[in-house]
Amino acid sequence: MKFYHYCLIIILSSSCTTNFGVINTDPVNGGTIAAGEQLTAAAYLLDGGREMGYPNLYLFQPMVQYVGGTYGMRTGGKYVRDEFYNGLMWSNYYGKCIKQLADLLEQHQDDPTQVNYVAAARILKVYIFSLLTDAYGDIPYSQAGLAYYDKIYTPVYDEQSAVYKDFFVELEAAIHQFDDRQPVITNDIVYNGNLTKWKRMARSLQLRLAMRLSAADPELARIQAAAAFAGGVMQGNDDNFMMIHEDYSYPDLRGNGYAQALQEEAAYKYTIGTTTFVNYLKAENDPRLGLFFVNTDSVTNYLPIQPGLYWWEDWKDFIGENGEVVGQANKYCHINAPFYQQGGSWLHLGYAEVELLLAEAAVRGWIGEDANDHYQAGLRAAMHQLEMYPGMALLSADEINNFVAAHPLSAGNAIEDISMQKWVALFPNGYEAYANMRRTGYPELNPVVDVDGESETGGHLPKRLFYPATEALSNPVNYQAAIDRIGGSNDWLKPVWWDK
Amino acid sequence: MKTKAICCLLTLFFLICHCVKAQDKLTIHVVNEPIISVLHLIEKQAGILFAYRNEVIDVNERITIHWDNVALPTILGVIFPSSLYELRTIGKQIVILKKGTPMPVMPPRIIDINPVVVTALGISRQQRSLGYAYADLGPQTFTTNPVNALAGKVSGLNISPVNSGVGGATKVTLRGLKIIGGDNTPLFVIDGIPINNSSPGQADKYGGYDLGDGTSIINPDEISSISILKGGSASALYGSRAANGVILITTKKGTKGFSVAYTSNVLLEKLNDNYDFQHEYGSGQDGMLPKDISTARVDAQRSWGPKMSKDSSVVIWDGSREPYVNASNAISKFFRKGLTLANSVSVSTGTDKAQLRAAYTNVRENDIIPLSKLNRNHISLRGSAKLSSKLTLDAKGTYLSEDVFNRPALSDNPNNIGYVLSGIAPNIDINWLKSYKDPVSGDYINWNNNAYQVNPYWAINEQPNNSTQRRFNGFLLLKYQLCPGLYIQGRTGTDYSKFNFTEFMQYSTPYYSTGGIALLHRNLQETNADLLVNYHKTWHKVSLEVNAGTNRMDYKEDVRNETGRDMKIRGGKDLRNFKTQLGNHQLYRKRINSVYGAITLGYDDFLYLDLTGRNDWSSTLSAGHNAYYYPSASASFVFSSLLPSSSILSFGKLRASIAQTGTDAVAPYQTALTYAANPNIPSVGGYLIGGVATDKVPYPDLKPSLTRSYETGVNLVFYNNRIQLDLTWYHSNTRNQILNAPISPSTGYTSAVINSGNVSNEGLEIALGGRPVCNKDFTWQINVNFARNSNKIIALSSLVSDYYTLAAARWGNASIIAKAGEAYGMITGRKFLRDDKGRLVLDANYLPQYTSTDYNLGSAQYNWIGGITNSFTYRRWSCAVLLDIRQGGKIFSMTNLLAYQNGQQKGTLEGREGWARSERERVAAGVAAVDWTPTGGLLMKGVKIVGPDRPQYQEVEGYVNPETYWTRVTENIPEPFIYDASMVKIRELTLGYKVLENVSVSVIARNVLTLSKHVPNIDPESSYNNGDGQGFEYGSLPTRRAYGITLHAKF
Repeated sequence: MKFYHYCLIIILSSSCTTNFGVINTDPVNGGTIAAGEQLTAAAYLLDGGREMGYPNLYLFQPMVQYVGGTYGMRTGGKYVRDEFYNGLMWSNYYGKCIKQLADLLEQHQDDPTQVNYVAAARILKVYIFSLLTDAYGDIPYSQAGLAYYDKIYTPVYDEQSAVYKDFFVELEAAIHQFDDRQPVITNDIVYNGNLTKWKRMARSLQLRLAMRLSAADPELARIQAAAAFAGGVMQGNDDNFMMIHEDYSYPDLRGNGYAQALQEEAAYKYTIGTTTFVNYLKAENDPRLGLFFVNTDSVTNYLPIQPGLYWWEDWKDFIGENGEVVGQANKYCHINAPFYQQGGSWLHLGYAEVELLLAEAAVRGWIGEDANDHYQAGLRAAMHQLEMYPGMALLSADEINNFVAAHPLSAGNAIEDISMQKWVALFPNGYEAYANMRRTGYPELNPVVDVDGESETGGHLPKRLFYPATEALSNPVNYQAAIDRIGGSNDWLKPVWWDK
Repeated sequence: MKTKAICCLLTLFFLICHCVKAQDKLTIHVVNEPIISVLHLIEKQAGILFAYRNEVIDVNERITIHWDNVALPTILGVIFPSSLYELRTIGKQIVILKKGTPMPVMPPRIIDINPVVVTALGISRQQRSLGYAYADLGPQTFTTNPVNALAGKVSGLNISPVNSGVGGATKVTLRGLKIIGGDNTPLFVIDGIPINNSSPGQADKYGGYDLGDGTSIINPDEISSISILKGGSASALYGSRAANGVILITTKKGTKGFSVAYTSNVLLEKLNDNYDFQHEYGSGQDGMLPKDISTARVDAQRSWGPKMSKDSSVVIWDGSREPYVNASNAISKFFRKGLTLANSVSVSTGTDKAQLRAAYTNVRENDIIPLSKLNRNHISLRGSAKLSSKLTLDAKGTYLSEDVFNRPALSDNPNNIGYVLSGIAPNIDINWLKSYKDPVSGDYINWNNNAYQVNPYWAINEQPNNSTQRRFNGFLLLKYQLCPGLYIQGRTGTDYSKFNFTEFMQYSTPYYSTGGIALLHRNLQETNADLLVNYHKTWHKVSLEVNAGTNRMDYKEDVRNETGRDMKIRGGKDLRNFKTQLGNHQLYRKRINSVYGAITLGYDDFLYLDLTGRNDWSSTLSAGHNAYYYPSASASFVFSSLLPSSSILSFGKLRASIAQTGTDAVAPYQTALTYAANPNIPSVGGYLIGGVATDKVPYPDLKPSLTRSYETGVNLVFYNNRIQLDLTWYHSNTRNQILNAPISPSTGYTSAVINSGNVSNEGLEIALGGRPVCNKDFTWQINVNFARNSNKIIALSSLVSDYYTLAAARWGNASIIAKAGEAYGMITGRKFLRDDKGRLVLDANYLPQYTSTDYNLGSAQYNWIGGITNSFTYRRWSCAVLLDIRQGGKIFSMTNLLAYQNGQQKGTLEGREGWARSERERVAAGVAAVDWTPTGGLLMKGVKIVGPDRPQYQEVEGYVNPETYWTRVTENIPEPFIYDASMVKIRELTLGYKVLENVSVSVIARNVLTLSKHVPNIDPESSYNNGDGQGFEYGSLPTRRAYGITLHAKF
């Protein structure tokens, strides 16, 4: 019996599998894709769709005390752990962006006709990983995104110091890899195939990352900052690295994620400027106060909210100096409409920030430039930068000139001046503001008001995001090694490496 | 074609034909022998076997016969005169029936000694010859859902309907879960043709609908019998998809003569109200009433206000003031009484040579959820004919049309009415919600400021969904008798279904404000063609039967999803009414080719040996690993035949089997990466967005998975069939499983297809039947079944982690996981942080802290399941009660979690009065909250940590706001919301009366009473999908209780 069976199997093995190759090939989804589509996907999906707006709106913006007031802001505003908001960068950046870039690089890194795609992908990859490591600390880096090609299902967590060192290597290599004799990048949503702008972006990113190490590794910071400046950073707001969107509401991913998050249940109505931010703008006579926030009456004068408070907690009507009454529901200032236009763009890295970084590098003596020149160029650029938001009222030349003239860099407080103005310039980008605040100590935060005692850190600002809980299940060994380096628990009060 | 020819030739080749005529003249001399002994003599001489239900033969009847060289038909004609008996020949078996046996209303479940049963490939066998556990349900009445009707009736068969509504699916498991993250459902086979039982859609943690499963094609009125093949040996011949057992359904055929049968069911359904919420505190927060319209909206579903009182009033979402009193309108008022009408008529006609049966069934169901209904039509036609003396034909076609309107949204879907209703504060009158839209603009009225919990009246009235299914299922069988003892049979069957689902989101609905539509189109076809050669022969005491065959299965599933957004004209439910239209398309194809063979050897009707072998080639596996072979062997030993006849032991059989079954990858295209444009983003600014199109890492070296199982059992019958006992022990190991293992997103993917794991299942099944009373007029029959399955995951892959997440909960961060070394389906999550003495560790505000990692919170699998049926017949009356018992599983109830969060749960009452008093004192004293030591509230006792380096604990106690406490707990700690899911239910109650010989009436009740359960506010049977991650409950609807009348008539 068995003998016959084996005869059968041998004879039939070939004929019983005829056409199996065809049958098991997906007739709808193909086996290849243009590199430009993958590159654009990786860049676009960083902030397309509401989920990608949540980390900024509910974690980072409240952490740097730009805004407060909604229930969701308790996580960044008074430090109540929220697994969902906390894990979004991790799941989406790796799962939607790094995935495509890792695949693009595996497929095309040895193809000379694709060098420009490869170089752009490497730069973008450094940018995305920098957001991840600045938020989480040690992260899967060298082995990330390689599940298919290398069968790495449990990537190791690389130490942040090593990750940063590799960033500089990658950026330098990528910049030199661009080759205008090879096909330009098509379908390039970032710079539409303009290699010069890609290079300037890479140098500007190099400058940002170099300055990040000012405390942790000043020598490396100096070398890299000088190299970045020498290599040619962004020259104006036209060089800005920003992402376009179209006016679609959630769940359509074509809308700006941050704007969609603000639109959800009209969250923008309760997204209120904090005392920390609004009072600083007022103190500096900053004309941007009225561009950032809306005041619905003539009495409350951009009434801010104390950090940590929910909009309903200090429940009382506002009584003006002359006895005017503004109801609780309308008393606070809230975020201005241009920021929640779903067709608006998202600014990742801009010229204003670059100038402020150069000012700091100059103050530190790392580049031989006039710090105040760069500082004032930064202020000017930051004010013009707001023109990118749809429907934003324009500041007059006088308003800009007056503000710039009134704000020379003060010799004794240069780093503070630069950092505070960078905080303003970065609005609404909480990702970078949070990183910069951890490095420089500016802005100095106001104490959190926690009525019900909900804070899980006792009101102390977290220094990083905790790793998603799923990592303990899906990558337990490497996860454990990573948290052992920060004291053995998934603690968000432990600083990242460069935060000295 | 070439393949088939080779297969055919070869199978014939090794079945070297020896055609010997069966002995057709008999010589029998007996004096005053029991008729059973005479039948035994005839069986031996004629090489045939008799099969009959026990009531057919009078065991006390003795006969005297003297025959020489008499033909078998003559003998049979004398013993079973055709005026009283009907004889049917199936192969070499002769089935003896009493003439005009009516369809019993609720037949006593009898384990017959010598019945013929249907086994794999539709081969009829004597049950005594089977070397594996086998259960069959003979002719009986099935309610509108025949699969759900199996609950509690067969040991080892676990039936869990999804708690959805009309046209819903059922999770069916035999002998535990074997496959991690794969398909654990048994294969359903109707008349030899597998049917596709996949679901077009199920809810997950973020919501969805239960779109039913493939069993809707089973028309309860057409079922002739259902057999359950549990183990590997029983099902080995079915190949890949039988690794989880087989449920064989045989449908009715036409019979000789003309008859018409009519069945009518009327079933009334009421909700089974499990809600038991607090009715003392109404809407508000922190013990305060809502302050204005905007907070009134938030508070419509927060019952943290002050104590309700006739003297106060409260503002509600439309700005009006209402008395602040208990609205005393239970949630149950939202629901209506359901009504099901099922009518069925069949016509059967035929001669000796040809028979025809036509049947039509219509089912109309109005669910307890308003506007939710189903209309189902089954039409079937079956013909069988003897085309010549050697060629017979059997063919059947069934057409199903099913339309379902307003299936309930489940889990986290904003339209889930169960979720919304269970949160409404007790002072809110549900009638107020009936004004759900602006009378002028038609826009949604915001009542709770929560986009994810829409007004349930809006949900059911303005946001309809509907599904249609058109399905054809049929087969054609030709059998040619080459010579006596050898036949060849060709059969082809197909199962084709076209399913459409439309979900509509009305303009202004809060979570989809510009309106939307979602369409799902699914066309599925599975075609099986097989060729079978059967040979049997008997030499004196030895009998041999050989089967050999080949099969080809072709599968094609075409799924199109279309979504429309941004409505042009309000209410237009056509895709063209939407400015943005997106879509994607998937086409899945697979093929399995097989050859198989089986040998059955019998010796003297007491010793049997079965050997089977099958080889499959599946297109879904990698090229080098796509062939897999699996054999089985089983033996049956009827030891009672060797014992002297005894008045105690009437029958005894031992059986044992060993088998290996293989499984391919269920889904195709898992061996290589695929790329596509992003289906959700046509382009942005003219730039295209695309890339790797899968979140599953493909595995180029995919191998088949193999299950090896052992089984042994004993079947004992005592006191002339008054007591029957069937015991089975089994063990199985499933290795090399094709997993879709969840992996860290840092790999770029969310899951990986890999071969991995070793899962063992071991269990015991007991079926015990007894007939305490059995006389001419009255019979009492008890049947008890029990099954215990213990499951262990011995290993997972070394490539991935030791944890496999089967499902994640929407709230509380709980998961259901498979972990190496543990049982399948462990619920995990954070616990309260406790010191080594078990005391709660509290923070500075006396709120509980929680662990940073997840712990095992219990298994969702039942320790054991069982059923007890008591049936009584008294003359024309019959009555049966079925008790369904499930013990030991756990359930994570998110309905209760949310009820604690929003203050609805009775458990939230503690400390509220004290906290309110403390707050009054604080305000009177003019002290800020941070500077006040509460004088009342929820008293927390525990420890706090002193000494930052080496933890030291100091006992503390203090009052907290119960609302803050429950917010902290419900957001972070699933531990207190894990409940015991054990239950005892009176599942079914029937009372029948036989009006005439062929006319009977019965009263049926289903889900009559829950005798025992341990989870408040919900039914423990409340899963929101039929997946493997069972153990989560979220926003469940109430379950249903049904009462009805059934009428059967046959002319």
